Amino acid sequence: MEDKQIVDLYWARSERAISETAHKYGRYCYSIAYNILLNAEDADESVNDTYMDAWNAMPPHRPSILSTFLGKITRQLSIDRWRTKTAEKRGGGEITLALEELEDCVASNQSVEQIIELRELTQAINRFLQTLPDTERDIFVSRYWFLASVKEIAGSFAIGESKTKTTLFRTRKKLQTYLQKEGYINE
Amino acid sequence: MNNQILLDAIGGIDDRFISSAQQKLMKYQHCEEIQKRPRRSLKRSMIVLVAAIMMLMGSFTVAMAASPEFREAVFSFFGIEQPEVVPEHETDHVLTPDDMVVDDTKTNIGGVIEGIYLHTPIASYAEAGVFLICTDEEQMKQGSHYDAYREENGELITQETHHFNKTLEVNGFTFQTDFEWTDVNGRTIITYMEPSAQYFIDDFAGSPEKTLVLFYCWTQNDEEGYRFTNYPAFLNLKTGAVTDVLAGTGAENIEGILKAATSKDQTKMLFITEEQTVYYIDLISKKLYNVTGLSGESITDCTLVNDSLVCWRNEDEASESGSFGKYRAWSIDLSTFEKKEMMIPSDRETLFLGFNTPFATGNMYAGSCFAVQVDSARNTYIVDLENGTTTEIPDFEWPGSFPYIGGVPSPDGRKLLIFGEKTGNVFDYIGVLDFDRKVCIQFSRENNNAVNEHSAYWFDNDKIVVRTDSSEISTDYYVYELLREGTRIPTTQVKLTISWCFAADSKTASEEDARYLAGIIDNGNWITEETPACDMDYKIILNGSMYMYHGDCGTFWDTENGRYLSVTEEEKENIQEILCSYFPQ
Repeated sequence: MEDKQIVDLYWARSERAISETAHKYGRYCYSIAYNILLNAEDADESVNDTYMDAWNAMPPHRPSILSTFLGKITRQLSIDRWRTKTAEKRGGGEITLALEELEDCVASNQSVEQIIELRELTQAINRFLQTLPDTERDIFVSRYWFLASVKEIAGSFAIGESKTKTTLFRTRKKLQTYLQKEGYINE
Repeated sequence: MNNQILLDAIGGIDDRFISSAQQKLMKYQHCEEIQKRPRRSLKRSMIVLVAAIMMLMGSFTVAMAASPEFREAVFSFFGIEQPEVVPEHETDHVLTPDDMVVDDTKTNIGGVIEGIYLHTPIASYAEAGVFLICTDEEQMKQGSHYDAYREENGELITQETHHFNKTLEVNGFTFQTDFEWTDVNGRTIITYMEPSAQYFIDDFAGSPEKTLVLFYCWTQNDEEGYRFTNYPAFLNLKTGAVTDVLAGTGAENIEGILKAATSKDQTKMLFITEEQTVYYIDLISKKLYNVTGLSGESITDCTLVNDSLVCWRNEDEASESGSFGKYRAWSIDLSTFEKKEMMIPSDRETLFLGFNTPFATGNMYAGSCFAVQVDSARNTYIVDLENGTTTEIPDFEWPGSFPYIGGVPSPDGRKLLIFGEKTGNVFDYIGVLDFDRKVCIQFSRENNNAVNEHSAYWFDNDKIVVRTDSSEISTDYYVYELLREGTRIPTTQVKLTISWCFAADSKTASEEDARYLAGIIDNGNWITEETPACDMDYKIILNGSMYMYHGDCGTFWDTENGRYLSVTEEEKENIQEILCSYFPQ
């Protein structure tokens, strides 16, 4: 079924919207959730919560790209769930590694230069991503949005792991410099 | 701000960035039912594929794949009597650099592929023709040091590494550099890079005397805030001398350079900016040209083809650089800078391989001289962008039973690596499309999933590597070299043109003459030790590969590969008779 038709089902409050979403994007959402949570049961719960959030969001939303709309919900729900688990000392996985790597960009002992709305920071990151070559940007998004492993990225982009790590590292350094220059973090 | 906030902020990035990465990540290609291109059923049997077959099975056990009928047919085609046997590697301890070994087993698959197997410590990389072994205790972190080894006749040879630590001035900016490098057959390989480096050196970036470095420069303007550019410069690693390639061209102040690439001889450069404007620089005359401006329209991507540029533009939004789609193409002559439309069949999907393709390897890849087309029946064609000719690959269909990536060009752009998704731990399918020979060498594979193959990529211009993690104690690499001399070309697809130094035009040889000359060239005893000291009076293009020939002494000269072939007296007479029939003297 086309995305537009699925969105129409949500707007029509038809429960079939959920089954069609699950049929078309269930695996996609599950993959995102599992990458973060590394637990099948938790991932299933995140995916189910995704359908619920989508149900509550449409209407009024009418996403242009349904997959990324759902993916964003799944990702955030899974990260929130992971944080809860981490508090219970059940963390780990790619998200832990990704967070360690992102320390490169925002050293934890740095003071906040200004209070930043999350949305504003996201827009800054969007502007930064726009400055990257396609491949470099795709690798960055694969790692820090999809939380894919370095091995997985190397395999998908047909490059070695060394190059993958080098590329990620220099992108992080560029992001750090960009955020410093834009005043989001102290130099 | 902390990293958690950053992680949350990344979660809200533009959908287009997410979609773009999603299309590249193999795991997600299969998640949706959406298919960018229609899947078509196989029209012909796989049996008649122009293929070499290699099978990896299990954790280093005997390999066999597909049906017996298929195996027999493919082995018969190439005379392969024994399938590949991947050697068993038994070890009970964590490998150290001293334990590294090239397996005794060296496999020749049908005279087409030669495979070697290496067992190395976990903390290792195989890239750009060398094996890098981490020497730090805290291994594989950014800023780790590596020892480099190259494989030669089954031995691992230690590479000498050099330290580079200088302050460099580039375009008014000062850069403190600190890295280590090694020279592998005249090519620079970085073995250590300081963690805070504000510059980048790619795997295929040139020789130690002329390595392309991208320096990170930030500029500020009132309207757009800080802008970043990758400023290209050549660096002589032996002397520390910097050659500012943009200086004096007018390109010094162009902001937002995303990517730069040079021709193989480093006399031409292409770069693209954030605004998707493509520029060309003649590095000899130091002249800058705005390719987008010369084209009079936006460009999806472009490639250097000898003395011209071939540019293309997608006809629909779904067609991106590095993917099959509908494109309109044109060439720009680099002496007159005239634009000329290219006539290529429009009823097929086309894969152009430009310098800005997402899968390009290294900075010395300025695009490929070839494009690939696939028709509705998945018949596959190679388009020679130099002359616009299109050649169908006989008895081959573009594999469509899996969500394939568009293809990864070799560092020299003369081959294309294609591979499918992984089933379990193993790549189901790997193939190499050889543009010069107009063949596809296919690796049809099965495996019992004991070995995790997690990446396949170009190791060198003629080698691909499959990296595996068989255990927590070692990393194994399968390195496959595509043999040039051993490759058999079906006689049905021999295409040969002849030029004579005293005539302006070239002639296409008859099928009979082409087969005769191809037989000598393909089966001859080529010598690489020394070069012939004689004039060459004929130029012969055989399936895209150029050979010079000297009629008086009967010598072929393969300039691209630096080798020559002396023919017998009888062959010399026959060749001369053929050549004179096209160019009477």
